Amino acid sequence: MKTVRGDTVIVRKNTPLRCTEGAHVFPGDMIRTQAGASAGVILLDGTRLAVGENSEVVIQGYMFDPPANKYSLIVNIVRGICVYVSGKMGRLAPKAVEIQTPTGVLGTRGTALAVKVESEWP
Amino acid sequence: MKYWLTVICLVALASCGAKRIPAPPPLPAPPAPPRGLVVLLPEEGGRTGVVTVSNRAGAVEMTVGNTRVALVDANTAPSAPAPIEPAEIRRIFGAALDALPPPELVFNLYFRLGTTALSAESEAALPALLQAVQDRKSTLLTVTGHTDSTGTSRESNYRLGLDRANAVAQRLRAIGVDPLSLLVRSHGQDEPLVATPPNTDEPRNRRVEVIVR
Repeated sequence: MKTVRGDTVIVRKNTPLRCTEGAHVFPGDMIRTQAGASAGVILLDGTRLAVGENSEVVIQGYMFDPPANKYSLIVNIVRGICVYVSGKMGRLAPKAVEIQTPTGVLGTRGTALAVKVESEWP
Repeated sequence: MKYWLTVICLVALASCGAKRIPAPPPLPAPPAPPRGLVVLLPEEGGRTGVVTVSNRAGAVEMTVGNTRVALVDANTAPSAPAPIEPAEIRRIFGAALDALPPPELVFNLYFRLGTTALSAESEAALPALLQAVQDRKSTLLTVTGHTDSTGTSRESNYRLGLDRANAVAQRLRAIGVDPLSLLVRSHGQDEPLVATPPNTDEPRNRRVEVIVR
């Protein structure tokens, strides 16, 4: 976790943990931000994620093991805003990267993208 | 009686006839706000990748930066890609873009043949690495040792690579880096920077790669 602004928590096993810059994020963790808050994360392969305010983003799965040729990154944007900038995984195994949203799934090849998922549902 | 009603109606119509204008066609219903918005950002360096947006109803592909696709729900196909103004991207995503960490930094330190002693150049370059670690308050560093193809065996080169990585890790701990922040490992002779035949003295392959996040 490289940048933390405002009321940001890591939800690990249903428990919200106060988070500070330098905190480690693990597969299964949800990053939850309140109004005016944001968070920035860099993963082992250099993939970068930023989460905007009023958001819930889950790092659902992560595996980066080039010697074993094992790659996986699954990000679930439950609501709010998330920016993704690909790292080595995006170059070595683009198919292993999956970004899920409530209305569709995103596949990427070496990309920077920004996603907004409306928080209010009809 | 019917006659009179008709007359009254006609008079009523006539009395306001001057002000009547043709009724405007009904406005189309305002489009529902998209439940999902996906924007392909132009990448630094000009290389923009590809993103496919798909759900049960269809799939679309974006290949050009500053393009967006809207999603209504999981059973409605994603919209066709359309351009989006950088100012609009900034308005929606500015705060998140500002929270994006800088890219990782990669340092290569080189070693003398068969040893864990840094070359003179890399010894001189070490302070820049240590400074970057401190500037970034990095809590996740990867320290990977490599060797050239000299040495007695693949296994001994694995160990030499690990010893080199540990030697660099020691320098990082000495400036206060938490050992738990360090991922120390060896790839031995298996990932040369420069491909060589066996038993080749190649200084560029005798290295430790440090990734600072």
